[in-house]
Parts: sequence; C-alpha cells; structure tokens
Amino acid sequence: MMQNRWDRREFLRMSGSTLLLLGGAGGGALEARDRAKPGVLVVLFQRGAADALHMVVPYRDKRYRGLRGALALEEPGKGETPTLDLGEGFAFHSALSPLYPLYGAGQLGVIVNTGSPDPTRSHFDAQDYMESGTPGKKSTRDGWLARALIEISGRQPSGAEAPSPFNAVALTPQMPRTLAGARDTIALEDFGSLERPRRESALAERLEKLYREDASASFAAAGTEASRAVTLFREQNPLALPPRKGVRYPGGRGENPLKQLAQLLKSGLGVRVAFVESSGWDTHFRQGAATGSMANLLGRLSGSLAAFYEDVGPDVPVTVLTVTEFGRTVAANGAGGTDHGHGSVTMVLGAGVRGGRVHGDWLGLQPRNLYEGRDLPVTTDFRDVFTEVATRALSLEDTSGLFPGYRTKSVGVMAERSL
Amino acid sequence: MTAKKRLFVALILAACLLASGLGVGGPSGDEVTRARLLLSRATYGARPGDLDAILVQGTKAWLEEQLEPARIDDSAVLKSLQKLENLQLSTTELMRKYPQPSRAEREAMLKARDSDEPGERKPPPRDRRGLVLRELWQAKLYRAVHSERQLQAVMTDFWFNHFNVYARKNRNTLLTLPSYERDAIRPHALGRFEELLTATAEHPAMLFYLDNWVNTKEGFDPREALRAQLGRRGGRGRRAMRDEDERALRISGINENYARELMELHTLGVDGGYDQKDVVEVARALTGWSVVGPQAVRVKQRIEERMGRGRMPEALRRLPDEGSFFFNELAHDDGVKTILGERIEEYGKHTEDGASGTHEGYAVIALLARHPSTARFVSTKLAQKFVSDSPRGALVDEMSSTFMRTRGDIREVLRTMFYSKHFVEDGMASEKVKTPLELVASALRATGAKVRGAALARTVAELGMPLYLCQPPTGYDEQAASWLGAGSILTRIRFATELAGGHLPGATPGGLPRDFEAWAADVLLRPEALPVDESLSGVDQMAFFLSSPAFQRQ
Repeated sequence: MMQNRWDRREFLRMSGSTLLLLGGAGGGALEARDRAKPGVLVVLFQRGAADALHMVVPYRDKRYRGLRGALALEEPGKGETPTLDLGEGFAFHSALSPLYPLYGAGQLGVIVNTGSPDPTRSHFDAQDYMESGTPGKKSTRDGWLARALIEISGRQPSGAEAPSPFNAVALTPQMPRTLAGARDTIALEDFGSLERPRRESALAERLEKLYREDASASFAAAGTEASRAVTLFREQNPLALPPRKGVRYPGGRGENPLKQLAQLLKSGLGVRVAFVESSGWDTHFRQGAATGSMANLLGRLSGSLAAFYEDVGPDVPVTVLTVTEFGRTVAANGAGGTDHGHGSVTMVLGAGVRGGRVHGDWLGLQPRNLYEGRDLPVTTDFRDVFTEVATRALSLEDTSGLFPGYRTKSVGVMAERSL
Repeated sequence: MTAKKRLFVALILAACLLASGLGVGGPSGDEVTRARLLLSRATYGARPGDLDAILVQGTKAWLEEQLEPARIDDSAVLKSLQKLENLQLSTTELMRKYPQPSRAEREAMLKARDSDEPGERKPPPRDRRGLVLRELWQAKLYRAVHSERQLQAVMTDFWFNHFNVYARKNRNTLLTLPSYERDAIRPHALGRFEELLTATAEHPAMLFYLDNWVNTKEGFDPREALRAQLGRRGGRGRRAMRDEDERALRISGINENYARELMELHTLGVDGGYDQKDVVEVARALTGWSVVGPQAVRVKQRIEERMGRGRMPEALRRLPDEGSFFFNELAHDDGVKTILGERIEEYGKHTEDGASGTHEGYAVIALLARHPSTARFVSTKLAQKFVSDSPRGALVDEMSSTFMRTRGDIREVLRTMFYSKHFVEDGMASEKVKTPLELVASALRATGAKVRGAALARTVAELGMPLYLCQPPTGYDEQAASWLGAGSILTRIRFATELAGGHLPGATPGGLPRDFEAWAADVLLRPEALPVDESLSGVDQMAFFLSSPAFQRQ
C-alpha cells in the first residue's frame, strides 16, 4: 500500500516535469492532454420500480406469454409493433427504439436480473438502500455517489486546483439521497436560477466577499465556493448553448432535465457526476403493452437519453447508468398492471461500455427460478454494477470506500481499462 | 386612574428604566449575554424588543416560564391554528375523510399524467390528502414564528426530528402525522422521556414508518389466522375475501427495522452497548404491535355483511377503528426474550395486565428509557442542539446524571443545561449554524413579517429541509457542516433578498426599521459582529444583513 502510494506520487512528479518539458518543446501535446475532458457519470433514477419485462423482453421463454397475458409483447419482426432484437432471446420494447442504434453500435449494454439483496418491496426503503448503497441499513447518512465523489477528490494531487463547485449536480428540487453528504454539489431543478438579476448580483458579490473573509473556516469555504460557482456559471453561460444540430428532445411537461444537463456538461463547469430522475414507473394499473402508459414513459426516457447522448457528443466522455429500486411481478395483476417485485434491469450507456449484449445471469421464468415464485430474482447485486461503472467512468483507483464492508464482484459490463 | 392602575404604570416605568440601564444596578453584562443566547437558541430568534422584555423579566423567570408552557398565554396563536381543520381530527377521522383513491380514480390520475395528446389533457383529479401536509407545514411555520411558547415549539421540533417519521412512507403515513405531533410529541416535549418514547412506539405513524406494524412471529400466517377465527362456519366470511386482501395479508416474520432504530437512534445510541442479538430480541418482544389499516376494516365490513355481526368471531368484532394502535395477539411471539442481559419475561410478572402480551413491549421501552446509555445519548443530543456542536464531557455528565436521577425528566435535564456554567461560556464560544427552518423563522421574527399560508414551506425545502419529508430515520443533522455549502449559501442569499424585498411567497413583510443599526444589534446574537456596508441602504441593506454569516449563526 505504502509502496503504491509512493509510486503514484513519484509518477505524478515525474509526469509533471515531463509535461513541462513537453510544454516547453511544443505546446501541442500538452494542449491535447488538457482538452481531453475527464469522464462524467450520470445516474438516472427511475423512481417507482420499473417493470424489467416491459423493457427487456425474454420473448423466447415459453412461459413469457402465459404469465404476461395481455401485457405480452410481440416477437421481433412480428406484428404491428415488433420488439427489437437484442440477441440471445431478448428484445427491447418498441418504445425503446431511439436507443436501439446505440445498442447496435456497442455503446449501450443491459444487465438483467439486477437489484438489491434486501427483500423489501417498499419503494421508500428500497430507494433509500439503493441511494445510500447500504441494503438493510437505514442509518447511513451519506449517499454512494457522494462517496464516489470523495474518491475523485482524494485523487487530486496536493496543490492541485480545488474541485469545481459543480463537481456534482442534481437536476432535482432537493439534494437526492444518492448525493447526501457530498461537498461541491449543487441541486437545482432549474439551473437558470443561478442567472441572477443585476441588482441581486451586485449584492451577492459583496456578500460572497463577506463570507470569504469570515473568521470561521467553514463559512469562508462556503463563501469561496459560492463565489466560484456564480462566477464560473456566468463565464461559461451554459444555458445559452443550443442543442447540437439535428438533436431533438421529446416534449412533455416542464423542461427536460437531460437537455439542461447536456448544456452543463458541454460547457466547462467541471461536472463529474450528475443525478437526474424520472417518475411514474409504479405501474399497478393498465400499464399497456406495445402502446399505453408505460410505452409513453419508455418513449420519453429513451428519446431523451438518445438525444442527450448525441447532444453531448464524443467530446465529453459520459457514462449513463439507469437504476430503479426493484422490479415488478412477472405475472400481470388483475388490473392490467404489475405489482412490486424484486429483480429488475439496468442499462449502461457510454463509450467504455461493453455494449450490444445482454449481461447478467438469466435463469428463465420457471416458477422455481423466480424469487418467491413470482418475481425476477436478483443475480447481480446493484453494488457490483455501481462499483464497476463508477470505477471505469470516473477512473477511480480505490473503490473500497464506495460500499464499505462489501466485496464487489466483476460484472463485465465495462471494458477493461485501456492504457 | 385607580390606585392599582397607577401602581402598575409605575412598575412598568421602573422596568423600562431598568431595561435601559438607567436604573440602579441594571442587568449585568453576563445577564445580557445570557439573554441573547437564550433568545438565539431556546427560541426561533429574537424579535425587536424581545431582549428588553427578557431582561425586565429576568432570564431565570423567563426560562422557568418557557419550561412551563401552559403558564404562557398563547391564545391568539391557538385560535389561528384552530382554522386548520385537518389538524384537529383523529387519524381515524382523517382516514374516513380522505379514503384511498378508488382504482378508477387512480387510473384517471395516471391517464392524465401520461397522456401526450394535449386535447385529452383534462385537469387531473387531485389527491386531496396534500391538504393535510400543507396544514402541517402552515402550523409548524406559524408556531415557530408567532407562538409565545417558543421553547415548546423548539422542543417539539427537536423530538419530531429525533423520532423522525417520513410523511410519504406509504399512503397512510401522512394521515397519522397530525395526531403524531399533536398527541405523541408535543404533550411530552418537556415531560418524561419514557412517556414520550412510549407514545411514539405505540403511534401508527412510527409503526408504519419503521415497519413494526408488519413485525410478526416467525411462521405467522395471517390468512391462516383469519380462517381459524372464522371457524367451520366461516365459509361465507372467507368468500368475502378478495385477491387484493389476500395480497395485503401476505406478510409474515420478524421485521427488525423499528427494533434497531429504537436502540440506535431513539435511546441507547449506536455505541450504546447492544448487539444484533438484542435487536432480534427487541423485535420479538414487539411482535404484534400493529395498526388497523383501512383495508382491514373493509375486510371486516365485508365479512360482517356476509355473516352478520352476531356470528362474527369475537376478535373481529373487537377490531378497533382504522388508524388505531392494535395489538395482534395472534402475531405475538410468546417465547422468553433476553435483552441487554435482562430476561424480559420477569417484567410480565409485575404487571397487572398479565393477559396482554403488550407488557413485554412496555418492559423493553422502560428498560431502554432508563438505561445510562440513553441518558448520555439524549443529553449529548440536547447539548448539541442548544450549546455546541461538540459539547464538553463535563456538561453532558451533569445532564446525564440529572436524567438518571429524575428518571428522564426532560424539563430537569434542560434546567441543568441552561443553568450550567458551561451554557453561556461554551454557547458563546461555539459556532452553531441555523438550520433552514431556524433561518426562515428567525428572519421573519426579526423583521416582523407574518406567516401567510403554507407557501413558506417550499422555501424551507429549497434550503434543504423539506418539512415532514426527511427520509432517513436519523432526522436532519444539527451540525453546522451539513448546512454550509456553495449551493446552500446561494439559496440563503436568494431567500434573504426575497424577504427583504417583500416578495417572499408565504410571508407578509414587516417593513424596514427606522434605525437600522439599533434594530440589528437588538436581534443579533453577537451585536459586535454586526455586518455593515456603508454604501447600502433600505432593502439592499436588509438583504445584506439577513444573508450575512452573522445572521446565519445561531
């Protein structure tokens, strides 16, 4: 351990001087290195427990039609609204078609039967466990993404510039549990509120000074951060950036949070992790099949994600992880919907993803392989997925603090680190 | 003028002289500091004139009065709060007033939400239960800003946070909260810890929130139990069951959630000397402590329709109203339990109510409430709230020993703390930051603004403290570090600017003071730290002051 640390410091020192030399010899290499933006991780929470079988359809399983009844979807290439073949007997719901080209291009991977080892079917508890990253333990104060953020900051060599005040952003009205306890985090439903009217900003400048010069270190730090946040936001003016040509975000009520997130990422605010959420996945009643309420939700989700990914473009190495607190019953209930279940499905989108394939252990729909005879089982612990994705997306070196006391296993959804 | 009235006026004059320091032996510097600190920590912040008033009365007399809220006339506030109708109702009444939306209604809501075609979009049916939450918000803010019983309001929030419940835990939790705060917390906020703990343990709000309502002995089968109750002739009753009832009844087994948090967060503290085995044993002792939900009552009604009341089994007939505490004897684990080395069975022998298994739960509560670790844990938390984020051991020792000596008399523990020599010394030296609720309430109080409706709760939420909506059972953190960050400073500045400018939603502005510096020194904890910017005046000066670090400090 000590040896490693020394090596790393030595490496940094040496590479620093090498870079300086390079900079002296010819700026090109240094500039190129500067331009390469660090990786960004976006966590998208589908609140309400998304129905995995309506996203990734095991159409070849012979029990599928019988169990799903009116909810059953067409096979790929068949019927009016065919599902989209993912290989190995799985298919996307037709409403996920905007994401299908990304799957084909190997940028999008799916993991079946993911979830929490905790058996709870309470939205509140399951979201809590997934956001804190500690299944079964409620008193954890911080969120797993906040801990990931600490791993990033911890890697900053001493004397390096302090992390951006926009190190983490959440496009939610309140700080999500996932980011609880994080520093350098701003949660706002609409970042437009940072563009203050002139009169307010003159006052703010004086106040920020007052904070910066406060005798107490914590006030001074907060004031400095606030100053930097506002100044940086004004300099970068991210909300003036139009979407990339040809990119269209799906409509719907209110501003599309992914559209604004793309603006934040495309500017130089220094965002490393971001949190967005979508609600309405608690489909107990008439969720519909190829069309209907869940198809609408999926259409908006996939359309927004595909637009976001194209909008951000290859300049920002972004990885998107979708999560949901648990899955739903395999069988349809009496009301054309599905009830609270167990295992669900996770999607990972990004250049470092081993995409174009279905990951995870699929055990089929035989009753004996279902959780409590009714739900998809969990064969991949969400912590394994989160660790692997965060490690690669953010180039983390030490991940032991992410899920304390848990030994993670490899999932294989992310490509090996290329050097 | 009668002689009596003349005497009264003379006394008032004398008091004024004393207060202005012109009288013989005006309040000492220590007394003024103590008064400022009490106003800052034991209330939601000083209003203009409060400092003079407390000095006239004397800090000791003022504190003694605050410790006995019934002695304080608060009729104007109580009268205003009477208008919030839902807060006067019992949980049963609320459950009947706001039945769960029917399947058709819920479908309509979903449809309205998911519809993409603008032509189809009708105003979605509203979940009218939201009104209950808005009334809770309004009352909390109204009391914080306007109640004369300030310490009671502060302590009610302290205990609500200590015994936190999240309003959206499930569809029914919100409807239990008016009673939870009114009946379980406030009456005991300055009373005995054991009674407070018992009241929360039995309350449907807590039973729902930490899942004890589904905590049953291993292998308990509610369907089996119901069938057994219905007996041989119960076929008709059984046929009254529907799929959804069967699904609702699919609960069984030990659920440790409440047992764990009861020890970790409510009593002993995480290092209080218990282990996982104690958690299981406490959970077993509390098996069967449950709540009658609306669904159970509907099943009962359907069975009654089919069988007739007379032929219904006794246990079903005796089922209390929805929203009530209910001890389900059939789900209770009768075995011997050993908790923190004590055999719980022993306690049962001393209770008169030998027939009921609840005595085990009460025994556990008594054992935990009287434990030295609890005395220390609760005292530490109180000292953190009122004195310093990291209180010195000696103060916590004093408070814990009072706690033990008085069997958890909260009023006595507070006396020990407020009268300790460490209160002023450490209190003034410490760096406490106002929570969002404290900031908003203190700013309204200082400026003479009034709470209007519930809209202010949105501001408190934007500042990071959605009221009644704290998810984890830990409640909100008291420590300064949790409330200081770039985002929070910016939001605090925005709040101050809106309030000063008179356009803060949910507040009727109070107007600007004539002598700004005198006013500011009157409402600030440390008047020597008065932030002044000569170039500012009027609204800007006020916004600057309310946003300053000095006003964020408590």
